[in-house]
Amino acid sequence: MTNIFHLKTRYFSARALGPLLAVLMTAACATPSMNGAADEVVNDPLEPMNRAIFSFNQFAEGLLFKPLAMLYRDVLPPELQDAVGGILETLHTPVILANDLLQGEPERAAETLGRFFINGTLGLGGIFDVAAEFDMPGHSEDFGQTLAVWGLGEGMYLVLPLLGPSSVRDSIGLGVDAFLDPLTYYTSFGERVGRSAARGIDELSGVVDSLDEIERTSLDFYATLRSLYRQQRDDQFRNGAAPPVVPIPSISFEDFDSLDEDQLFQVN
Amino acid sequence: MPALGFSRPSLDCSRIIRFVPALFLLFSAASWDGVLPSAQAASTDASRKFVQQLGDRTIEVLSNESYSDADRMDHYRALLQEGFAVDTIGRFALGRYWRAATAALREEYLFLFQEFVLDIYSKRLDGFSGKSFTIIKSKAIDETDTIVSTELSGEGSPPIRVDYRVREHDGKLLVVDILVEGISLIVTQRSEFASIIHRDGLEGLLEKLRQYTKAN
Repeated sequence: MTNIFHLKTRYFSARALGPLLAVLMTAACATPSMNGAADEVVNDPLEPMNRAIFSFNQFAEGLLFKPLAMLYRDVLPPELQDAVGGILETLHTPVILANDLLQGEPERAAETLGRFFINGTLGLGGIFDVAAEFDMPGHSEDFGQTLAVWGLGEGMYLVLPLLGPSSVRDSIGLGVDAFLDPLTYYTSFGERVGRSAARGIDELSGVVDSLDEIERTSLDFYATLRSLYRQQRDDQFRNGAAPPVVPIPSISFEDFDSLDEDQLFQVN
Repeated sequence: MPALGFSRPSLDCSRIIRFVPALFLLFSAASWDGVLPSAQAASTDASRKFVQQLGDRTIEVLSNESYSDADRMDHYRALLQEGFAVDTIGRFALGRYWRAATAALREEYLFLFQEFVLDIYSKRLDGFSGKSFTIIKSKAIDETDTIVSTELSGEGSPPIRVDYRVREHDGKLLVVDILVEGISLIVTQRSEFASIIHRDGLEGLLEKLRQYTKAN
């Protein structure tokens, strides 16, 4: 499944994440709430650092990941790409299942388990998505979503090196997902990086054109992606429920001028 | 591949479809009981038709091969002006900075914003060719606004949820927001503009819009 931001946010070595998380949690505690009207709007107190990392990520993406993703997309037959995505999903099942359960979603957990057994056997390990034929389409979950379901706020926006848009909460989620993944304990560091890279390339290949399009039509690509990331995460937390209604001012000018500022300016 | 990039596992879509009959039942029951005024029920129907027509016309413009690029742009401009509350969207995108702006700035901003939106839409619409859209449901959210939910599907990719927020104003229907996979275009736009204004001021935003519209 292609998903613009998941691509870089799911796989990560717990070992490498430990020190980073320690720093982030301290940062999160030191900044308990948003201060000042401007911060309230974007909740991005680390913006200068985030922008620097973002630039670096774009450089690395343009130099290495995008060409690889396009090669993968254009050279590999679509069936083979589906097979790669399917196998990666099967490998990721324990993490999805654990998070389904932690969120109190037994139905979705059953679906995850059903897919694992059907695709693992009839689907030859995920090469064929047989389960989808049985009306069991896949979905993804991660511990960042679980924390959101449990009521934890975003903390603040973060851009992670190579992994891209994230937040304090979602970074913690990444670390916990790595612990929840049995494969973390049976693979070498190199193997984990390889799997992460494969997943990243697989997912990037599906969205690379859209990303380029958004970049071309943005005045501030960083700010656009920040908003898209947050809105997409919110949409995932809702698991398909309707989004909240944003108060759009009346079409006539007079009403607009009399609207309350808070109404006009919500966080996102 | 999804034209707008934000695809998600199809489970939620299929769930929505499964719930559609239930939603319709609920909705009709609610209007039957007089919970929803009949005027609203009528407007959801009208909004549905409006989105259908807008979609059909867009696809017509998109797929008519006799049009030159300039023709196509003219048609998009007409569609945008007739079907979208562009000025309202523009004012929303400026958020609280609208009030601080002088009349001259407002006027220039709204002009630039329309050109900017036109360019974005014409570019993004190109990705829609070969896709078809189906209206799933429509639901009134207040006295004036209705959400018309559609699905955009093409071969080899899961369907994309696209919701249109349609507003009735002076007896006319206008789109005030489009939500792709739950992501609001006007919220994204406002967030981007706020970030630019925060860094470079309102004049900085206008300068960026000027450059963009000149270059494209």
